[in-house]
Amino acid sequence: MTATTARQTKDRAAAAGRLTLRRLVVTLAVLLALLIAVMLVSIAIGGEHINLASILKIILAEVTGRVSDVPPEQRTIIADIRLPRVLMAIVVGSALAVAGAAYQALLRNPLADPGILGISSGAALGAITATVFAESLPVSRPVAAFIGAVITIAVVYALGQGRHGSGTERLILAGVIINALLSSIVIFLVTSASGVRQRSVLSWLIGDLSGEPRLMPLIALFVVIGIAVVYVNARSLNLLMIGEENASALGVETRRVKIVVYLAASLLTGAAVAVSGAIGFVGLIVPHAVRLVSGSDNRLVVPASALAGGAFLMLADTLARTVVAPRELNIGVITSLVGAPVFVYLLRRTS
Amino acid sequence: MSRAGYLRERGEARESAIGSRSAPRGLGRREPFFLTKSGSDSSAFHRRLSLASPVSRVAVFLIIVFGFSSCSPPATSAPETRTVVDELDRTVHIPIRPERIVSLAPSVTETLFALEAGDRVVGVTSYCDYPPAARLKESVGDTLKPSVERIVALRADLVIVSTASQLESSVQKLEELGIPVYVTNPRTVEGVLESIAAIGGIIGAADVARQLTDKLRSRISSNESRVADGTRPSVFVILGTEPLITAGAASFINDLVNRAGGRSISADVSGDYPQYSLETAVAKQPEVIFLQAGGSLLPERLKYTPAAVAGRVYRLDDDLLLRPGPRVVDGLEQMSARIHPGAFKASDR
Repeated sequence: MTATTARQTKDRAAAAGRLTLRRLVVTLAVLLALLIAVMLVSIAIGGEHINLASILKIILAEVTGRVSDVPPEQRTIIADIRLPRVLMAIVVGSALAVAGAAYQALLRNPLADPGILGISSGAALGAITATVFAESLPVSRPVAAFIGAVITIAVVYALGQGRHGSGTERLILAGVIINALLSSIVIFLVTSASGVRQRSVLSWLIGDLSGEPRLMPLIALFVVIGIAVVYVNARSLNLLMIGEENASALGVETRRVKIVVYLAASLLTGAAVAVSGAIGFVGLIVPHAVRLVSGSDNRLVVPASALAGGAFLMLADTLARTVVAPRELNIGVITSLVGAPVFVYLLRRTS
Repeated sequence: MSRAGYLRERGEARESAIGSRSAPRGLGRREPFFLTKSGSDSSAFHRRLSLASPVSRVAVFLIIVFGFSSCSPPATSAPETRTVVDELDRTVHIPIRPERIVSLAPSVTETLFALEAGDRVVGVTSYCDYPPAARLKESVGDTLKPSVERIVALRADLVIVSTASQLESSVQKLEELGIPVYVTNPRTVEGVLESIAAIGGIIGAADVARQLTDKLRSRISSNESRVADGTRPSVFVILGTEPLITAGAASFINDLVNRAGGRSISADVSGDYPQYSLETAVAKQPEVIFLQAGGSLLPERLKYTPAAVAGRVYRLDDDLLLRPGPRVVDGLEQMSARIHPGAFKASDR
């Protein structure tokens, strides 16, 4: 057994050095299959039990536009509540995982996650302002969150610009400081909010996918564009990871790449956080898990993180919906609870 | 248990502060004479504190310090106290007739005013907005972090709290300073009546309390006979929509829905204010839905529930539902009229 493990490790080490097309395709195909499998399970189970035959009929009826014979409330549950939520989990999970992967490469910091530059806090401040001042501020929470994120992205970027261009250290420092500032305002607002509102805000801070799915198409569009932009720059990110000077020497326009990737990752974060709240762990751990399994070439890490992140968040949300039904848990509680053991397993397996 | 109560009280208290009740402060002038008395009293106090010369400041300081230290060992030295057991089974020594009462919960403030003891209330929380006269009282901070200094400065001789959780440190400090703290802990409609009677007893207003509870009791029982028409519609009470928060088994609202002749679809869910599955809400097919007045809209995905289809989605002032004070009976009647419109149509509604 040790012999096989040793050989596997050796093979993997050899493979990790160079990304072949075959490995790219196989890895992504496996992850896609996993995503679809998790999706089917997630649609099949939920707070209310509906048998598979009815679910199939409902989906068939939705696709073909015909009327099915299942009770209308079951149709509402599957088509209006469960399915949009499952899709939302995929979109948000992919966005957070890719944003995490991009920040980790861009900042050359393994601890970077979508929250590191304060974008989540900016979104949180927007969302909480909209919740606490709901009467006088008729802006929906996702919109307010996104506005908060965009403002933060701009401020952190401006602060990150030194006399000698945007050093990544400067960017991290700017992000961390803004994060601290915004967090304290957020905490002030939370503590001065009313009982139920406080619950609502807290739940948002932990992360929650039960919101209205109305903005989903728009968010999905943002996320697809964001992931595409990061993917296009994956090669440059590979070189950046070796070091900025080396990358420049190899012909990478480091300044442009850094700006573009920063903006793309931040928009991904902003879009995801706007609809789901600040879900932790996914953006930090999913890219690392992908790297442990399939090497650190960003041309694979980026798309693989998108698929794995989507599958992982969908799984976590299914647990959040079902474990204590008809109550619901916040998904942020589940992501770390489920994710940490999985990550420890991967870490041990590949060390 | 006490945590549940704490959340309820907090919910009650804070909702009112942010809920931008539009009642203008000017309404206060409709209130009786005692307001002016209390107002001038406190401004005199401030005038004293703001004396210009340093010497007089020191003098005032000394007077205050000695004033308080001389009255601080309360129960034993002052003969005119009585010993009562509060609703958390704590033993408290309270003056026979407390004259300077501080209320640390909106429900307690409402109770004190309903007991015609508003003129003896010297301090309230920033969330105490009912009756309007309560807004004119000195604020001692919010329900979670009252200012002990302010309470001492108001020379309070009784502090009434609703459910102690989170208040432990200030309660302890107040007692060390010799200010008695009485804790109320109503859990049901019946509990509210008991609490009113108990507060009436300790502030020397037992007769008023009896009249009030008799009146409330008769309203409750006439309401009970009205709603007993053989039907029990299923009811879904929505307290928050992002996420969906409802009233669980441990909540006070459950008792209200029952007494209003309804059947809460979330009565079987543990906890007081659980986050609830939208799927289950749809599957349970509620016939009546209650939302908070001024709160969020009905979630889009509940629009095919029988309640929404039949246009039976109503808004209720959540202060009436979440504050365990005398107005809870108003809340009960409003809820009953919505659940059993037929029983209330002819007469007063």
